[in-house]
Amino acid sequence: MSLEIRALSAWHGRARILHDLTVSVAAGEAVALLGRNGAGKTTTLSAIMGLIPHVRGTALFNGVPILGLPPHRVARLGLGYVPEDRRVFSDLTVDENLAVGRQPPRPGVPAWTPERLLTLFPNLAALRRRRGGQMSGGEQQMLTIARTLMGNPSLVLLDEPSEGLAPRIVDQMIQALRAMKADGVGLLLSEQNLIVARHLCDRALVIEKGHLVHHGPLADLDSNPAIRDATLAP
Amino acid sequence: MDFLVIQALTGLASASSLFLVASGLSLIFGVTRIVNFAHGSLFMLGAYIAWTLTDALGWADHAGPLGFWGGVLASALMVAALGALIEIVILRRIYHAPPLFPLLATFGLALMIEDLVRLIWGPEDLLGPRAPGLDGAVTILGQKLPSYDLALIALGPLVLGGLWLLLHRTHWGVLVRAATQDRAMVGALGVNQARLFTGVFALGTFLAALGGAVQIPREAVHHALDMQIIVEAFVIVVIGGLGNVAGAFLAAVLVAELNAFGILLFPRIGLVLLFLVMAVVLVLRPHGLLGRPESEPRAAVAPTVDPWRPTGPTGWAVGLALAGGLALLPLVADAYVLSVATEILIFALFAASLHLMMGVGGMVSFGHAAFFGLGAYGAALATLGWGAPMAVGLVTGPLLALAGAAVAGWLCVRLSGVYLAMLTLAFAQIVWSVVFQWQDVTGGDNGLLGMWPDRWASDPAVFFWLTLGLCGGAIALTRHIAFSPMGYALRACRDSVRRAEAIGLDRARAQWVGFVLAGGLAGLAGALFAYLKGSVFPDVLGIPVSVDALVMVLLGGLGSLTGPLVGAVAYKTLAIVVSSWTDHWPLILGALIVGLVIAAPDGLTGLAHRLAAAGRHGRRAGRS
Ligand SMILES: Nc1ncnc2c1ncn2[C@@H]1O[C@H](COP(=O)(O)OP(=O)(O)O)[C@@H](O)[C@H]1O
Ligand SMILES: [Mg+2]
Repeated sequence: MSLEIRALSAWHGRARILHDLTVSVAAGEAVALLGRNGAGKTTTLSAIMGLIPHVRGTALFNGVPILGLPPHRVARLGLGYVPEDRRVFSDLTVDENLAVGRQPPRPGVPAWTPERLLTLFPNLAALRRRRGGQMSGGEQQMLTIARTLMGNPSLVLLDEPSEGLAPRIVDQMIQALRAMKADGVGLLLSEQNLIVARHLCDRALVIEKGHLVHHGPLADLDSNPAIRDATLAP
Repeated sequence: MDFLVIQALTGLASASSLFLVASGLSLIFGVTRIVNFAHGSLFMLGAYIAWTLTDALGWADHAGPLGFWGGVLASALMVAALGALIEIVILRRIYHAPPLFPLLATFGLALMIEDLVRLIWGPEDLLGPRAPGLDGAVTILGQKLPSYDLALIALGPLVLGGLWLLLHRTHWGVLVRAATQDRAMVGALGVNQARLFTGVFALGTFLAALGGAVQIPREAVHHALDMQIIVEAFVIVVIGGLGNVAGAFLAAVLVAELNAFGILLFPRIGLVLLFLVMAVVLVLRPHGLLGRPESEPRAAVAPTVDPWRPTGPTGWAVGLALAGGLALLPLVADAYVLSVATEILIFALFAASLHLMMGVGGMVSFGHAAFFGLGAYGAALATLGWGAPMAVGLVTGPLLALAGAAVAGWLCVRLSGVYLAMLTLAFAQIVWSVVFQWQDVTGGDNGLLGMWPDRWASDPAVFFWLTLGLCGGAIALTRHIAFSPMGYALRACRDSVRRAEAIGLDRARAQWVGFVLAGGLAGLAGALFAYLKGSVFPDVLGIPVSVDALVMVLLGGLGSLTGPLVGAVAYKTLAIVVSSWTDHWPLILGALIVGLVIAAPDGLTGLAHRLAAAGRHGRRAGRS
């Protein structure tokens, strides 16, 4: 068992955003975290990373309690985070962006180098000296995933990676994420719809207004259009 | 002509020291977002310790150049270690506090260091040693230039090159640049921010102290260096672009040359020139010469977590009861206590007006004294110039402040964050210089004397009641504004400019109106202050008065409408009480502020809330 979360609640100021979520991701598994805009997906992922001060519940990552740890400690345990607004360092070149993510190799986890990553994201290869701020949205999304992989994570939290990207770019990204999964890296993928999740994930969790409303195999959602249409964007 | 070349070279030599200080300040701000008010104090400490090592302990005499430069370097390293300690012990605890709050801690530190320096080294100016081997002069175009100046001219580019290599060619430097853009993301990628911050703070402090240490052969060391240098360093950092080292270099050269030539061209308004240039640069390039807009604009003032509620019946009852209670004060208090109480009331209004600008409007001001002072001079000119009664002065004062705020606000609302704050400081300094120089009208340094209240209000009790009525009314007005449509518009712009504009709010107009109103209310406080003191001096426009206002607002807590009042009462009372006990009140006050910042990062009102909540919790736990 890689990530195991019980009764996770989180607050923004006084507003309670998450209500006792239970989430688990086995080693090397890809799980979709689905829900409409404002459902609490970003809050869930950032709470796991230690980016939200007011949280309650328990979260074990490979048996280590991580709730309440500062983000860098969580990251160093091998939990990677790709935020929804990408947040590449716009003044830094591609190579420098990758360097920021660099962490020592971890036993039992694929060790990434810039060279290996560039075969996974071929369109970054020609841009190594380009500044992050001068890249297209798709290139930035590839870079932010590559940057997180430089930390050699065993599980990556991906927040709506397909948002705002052209379908062709989304396809490229899915290829890269599949290769990553094939290497044994686990995924917790947040999305508003099923488009990307179908290609990568086996299981899905659906949240609405911070409550877990459904979980099970992804296929369940297709056989249960009532839940799907009530909780997901078309 | 030849003389001008020498003047330019002297300017370049000064630029090096300025660049060292400013690059340190810029790095620290870039990564930690701390506006480090104590940076000038660390510069000063560098100069004093270098003086002790090279001169008092005689390193320069005994060991020649090695001793001198060794002393300079040792001093910078010692101060850098102190900087690291400050970061670890104090600042690290408050990174999660609202932005700007750490400013308060660094202000407390600056107070403490200044007083400690006076305790250790005494109040006299200290003349530094000459640099062995560089104590001669070289002749350039028939004019003499100290060799030491040439060495300094070389030092600036050398340090710039070294910093560039450090920031671009080392892993640590890449992390620093990344953190300058998005420190939370750097943390989420596994970088220990705390360690990074300590390193940056130590480096920045090292540069400040080095800047101070290399100055000792050129300028006497004294304990007012801190404020002198911090203002110049802020100006340079802002002109160059926050967090940008190359920009700091350019701006340091610009400022140093302006100083060198401004004195020749306009001996009387050298300082104004500096701030005028800054104002022009900021209006043309709102992020400084080489600065870039932030990728994700951050609110200068954190959105309030607890929504504010309009004053309810209980609130009004408490407010009226408080005012009623205060109105009874003249029955029991003597004239001295009454005048202190009057002053506190005036400063409560002053703080409330700054809170309207900062807490409600999200516009941080480092120059709020401008409007306080304009109010005081507006009243004084009417009373003394036209012989008008006090009632007229209490109108002309605020009107002059309103007019000043209309002009300043028109420029300021084009900017945001620290840039805006610096433009307000520039405006205040320009007004100060004008008042200082325009002797025929303002009396210059001698001030305007003998403007007492009209006879009907000359009794301290009557003047106290008058102040209570006017300040109470004005403070109630600031509350009213916060809950008017205009207050909602201001608060919307404060919390998110983008979203506010997306729903069709005219941000610039709303902020301008808020700015002008806040200025006018500060002017009323200033006018009352002038009548209370019976005189006006240019000091009322000075940086210390602006800083006082800032401290009162932050101390009380930005996130609450009552905050500025609590802060004003607490700060003024403390200052008055502690300074009546001891000469070392800056040390004690500074320590109290630092302690308070650590204990209550959300200000006094935040502390009160938490204590009350804990009390409720405790009672509930006790019952079950
Ligand atoms: N910084 C914040 N302060 C207050 N409320 C927030 C903040 N961020 C998000 N929220 C609220 O939390 C809820 C969940 O948001 P989020 O986790 O971003 O949803 P999602 O990622 O699923 O779109 C929303 O109602 C949003 O308005
Ligand atoms: Mg989201």
